[in-house]
Amino acid sequence: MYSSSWNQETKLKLNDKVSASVNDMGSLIRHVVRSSKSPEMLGQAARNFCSQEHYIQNSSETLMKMGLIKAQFEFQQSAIERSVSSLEEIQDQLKTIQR
Amino acid sequence: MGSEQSSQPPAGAPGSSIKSQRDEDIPYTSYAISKPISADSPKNSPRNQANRQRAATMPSHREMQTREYTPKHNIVVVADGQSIIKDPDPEITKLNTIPVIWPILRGSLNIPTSSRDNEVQEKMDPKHLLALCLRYQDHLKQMAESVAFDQNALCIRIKEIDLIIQKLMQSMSEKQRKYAKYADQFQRTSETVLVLNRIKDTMNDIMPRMEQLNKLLPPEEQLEPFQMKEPPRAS
Repeated sequence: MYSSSWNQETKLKLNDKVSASVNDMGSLIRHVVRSSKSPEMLGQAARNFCSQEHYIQNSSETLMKMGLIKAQFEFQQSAIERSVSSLEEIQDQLKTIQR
Repeated sequence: MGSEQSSQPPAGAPGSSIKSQRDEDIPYTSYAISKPISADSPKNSPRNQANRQRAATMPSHREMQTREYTPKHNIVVVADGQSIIKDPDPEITKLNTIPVIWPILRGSLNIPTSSRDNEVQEKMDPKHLLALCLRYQDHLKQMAESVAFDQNALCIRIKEIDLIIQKLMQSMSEKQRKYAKYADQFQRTSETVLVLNRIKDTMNDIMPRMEQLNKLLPPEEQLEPFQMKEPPRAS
């Protein structure tokens, strides 16, 4: 059966019906999405997370300062080790002087 | 006589030699007279017969001319009986081969409906669609809630971690200050070593002079010979 057996009127009506049903589906889905408050909740969650950015930046700066302090620690530790090794020599000399 | 009359054209027709008085009064049109009412083919009409007789008598090159001349009663073959349509657009032919797709409710197109519309309307219950939409809505809500919950937990954790890092930083800086002091104190040992070395050197310098002085003293006040203890060997 060929579609050429349709007349013009059925084609126009079918066109209108199809476009109307597509629009109805769109509005139905939009209503479903809006009534479950998902976009609002997700937006709120995103905003909260963005406000944590300040804390995250603080943490990263603090961690970098900690790295500097760690380097200083290493320096001090090497100095103390040197001093401790010379402590033994001093003890010996003291004993010889004190008799 | 009969043969003559059958071959001669009827009275009043053009080219006929017999003319009656009636023919001259009444102006018969040649078309009306020569058109046969009987089942005789128009080819046997008197005009054609006259033409054929004339053609038979004329020379051959004029035969071709009269044969090409088509009088009104010849069957003219226009075509083979089927008119050839020009080949249309291939897209249009493809569109025409698409089968008819009716909507679910045919009555909405003002087409004479079969009675299937009522059955279809009973089967299409909106409650099921409503249930589907509500389920989808509920699904979206649950997903959004879980995601928001996780995000909030992450926010709280970030704040906690920031607090922990701050405390760590404080304790580390205190320790660093303490250890800086210790290191400075320990530096004093090196100074002490230097001092002690200087003492040893001066002692070594003093030793012979003290012995000399001791010898000069009277033996009652002589001190014991000054000797420094041997440094004990570190085991």
